[in-house]
Amino acid sequence: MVAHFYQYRYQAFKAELKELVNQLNQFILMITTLFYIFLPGLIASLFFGLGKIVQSDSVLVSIQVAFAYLLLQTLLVTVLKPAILDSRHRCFQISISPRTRHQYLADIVLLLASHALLIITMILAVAMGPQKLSQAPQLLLFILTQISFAVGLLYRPQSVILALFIAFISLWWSSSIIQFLVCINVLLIGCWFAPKIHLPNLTYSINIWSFWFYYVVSHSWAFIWRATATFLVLWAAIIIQTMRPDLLHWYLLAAVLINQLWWSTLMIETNQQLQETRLFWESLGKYKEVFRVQAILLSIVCIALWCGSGLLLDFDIYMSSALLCMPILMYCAVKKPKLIAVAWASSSITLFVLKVIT
Amino acid sequence: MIEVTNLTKYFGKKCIFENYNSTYSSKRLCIEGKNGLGKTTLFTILAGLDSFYSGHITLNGQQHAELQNYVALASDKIIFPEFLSAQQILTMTTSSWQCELPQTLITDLCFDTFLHTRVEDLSSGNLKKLQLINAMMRNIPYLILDEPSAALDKRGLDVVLEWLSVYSGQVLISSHEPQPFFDIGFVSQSLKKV
Repeated sequence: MVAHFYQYRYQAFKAELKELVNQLNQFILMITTLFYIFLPGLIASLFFGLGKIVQSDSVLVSIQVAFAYLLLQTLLVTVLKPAILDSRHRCFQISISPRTRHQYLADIVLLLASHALLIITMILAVAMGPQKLSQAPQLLLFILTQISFAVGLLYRPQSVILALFIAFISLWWSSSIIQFLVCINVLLIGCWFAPKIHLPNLTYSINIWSFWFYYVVSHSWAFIWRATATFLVLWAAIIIQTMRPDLLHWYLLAAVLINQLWWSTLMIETNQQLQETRLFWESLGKYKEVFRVQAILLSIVCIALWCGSGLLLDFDIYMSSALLCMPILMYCAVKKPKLIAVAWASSSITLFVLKVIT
Repeated sequence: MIEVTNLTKYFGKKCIFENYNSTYSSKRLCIEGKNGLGKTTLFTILAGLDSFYSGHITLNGQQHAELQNYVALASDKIIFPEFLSAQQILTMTTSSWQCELPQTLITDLCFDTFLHTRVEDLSSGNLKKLQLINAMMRNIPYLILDEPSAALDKRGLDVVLEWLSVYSGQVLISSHEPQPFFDIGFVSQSLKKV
């Protein structure tokens, strides 16, 4: 009975993962093709970041890197969560294994096996050996924090979001990495027992503009992950700006283009909503208007993001040209969503080639 | 009177109508036909919600570019944004068509308590009530109700029948249980495709 249960969970996880990979296939292929030469550097940078947690001249940098890793793992685990928990068949799981301890055990094992950032940290810890590891207890504490935050995300996502939010505010006040990690773990435990926060019922008057506000509220995950990814990309660019200002103009363009990709793909999702409810809008005689409002609002978001990136880092002519790609991407999102990756890759390569030539 | 001339409609390669002609002249009409014959498709075309067809639709002998200005449709095909409340859906309709919220109809259908419920949380019966209220409140000359009695409770059906019996415009319905509608004067017309 128990063996059957674990077998089922493994098969369900594999099937969900396969579906997820199919969904992200084009995106993964695009990133691999476009940033082919940067991939080894990207993987190395993950170890480099962990190195900053082990040893750094600046306590603030160590803390910031640890926080960035926890934020990134929150995104990754949230994407994998339905596969790890097999959320769609939770009731079925109870029907084949009445004891919940087996369910939790399967959840945790699948979580640990699929937590790429935790595995990277473990590899580093093993490579360091017990002697060096004893001199860097913060790495062990960081591993513990990775596990506690990942488990928290599975069963109490609100506690993780609250703990991360408070941790972000206290980033600049901690005097050591160990103190920071202990504090955020205590915070997580505190937030675990906090009562569930219920968002108030929003009762703004409804029209074709405020309709999109309600859409944002009900589809908040689509915005949260994009905002978090944007934040991480800009943060990484700012760190590069401090460490290698001579390379910033390359990374600036890449950062702007990557952020543009996150946000222009949002139009695939909003347009899907419009297509599903198209007859409703047609029955109101408002389909064209609501479609136009969607394009205007997304353009405002992309322009605001572009301005923010420029103000934080720098403006140059290539970065400005990146803004011109936005209408092409939005057109693809509406008319040919499958081609958006190709359109983005083509425009990005064109801009980089132009930059190299000139 | 609604007249359909040379209607041709395809879904991909599947032909739904080919040079279809028909006249719907009775004031209260029940369109009958087997499942999958194209009743719902015809209704969305008549209501001006589907413009991907060839042919002509006339209302009282006149062609109109925007049929939805004259025809209201209640159908499962019209999917409401699932995250809005029933009240918000009805408010959108009142502001778009400058009509008033039919408080009496809402109360008679016992829908008051569900006005603040999100569409995704409505039961199938209450979703049907929302569709019906949303179409009936417009008070325009043509009303099409696709399976109005499906999922509706007895009291709800009585309220709808009472409302339809005093409605002054032309009503087209489709129903697989048409007897209550025949009882209030609806006549049957088959959706024959030659």
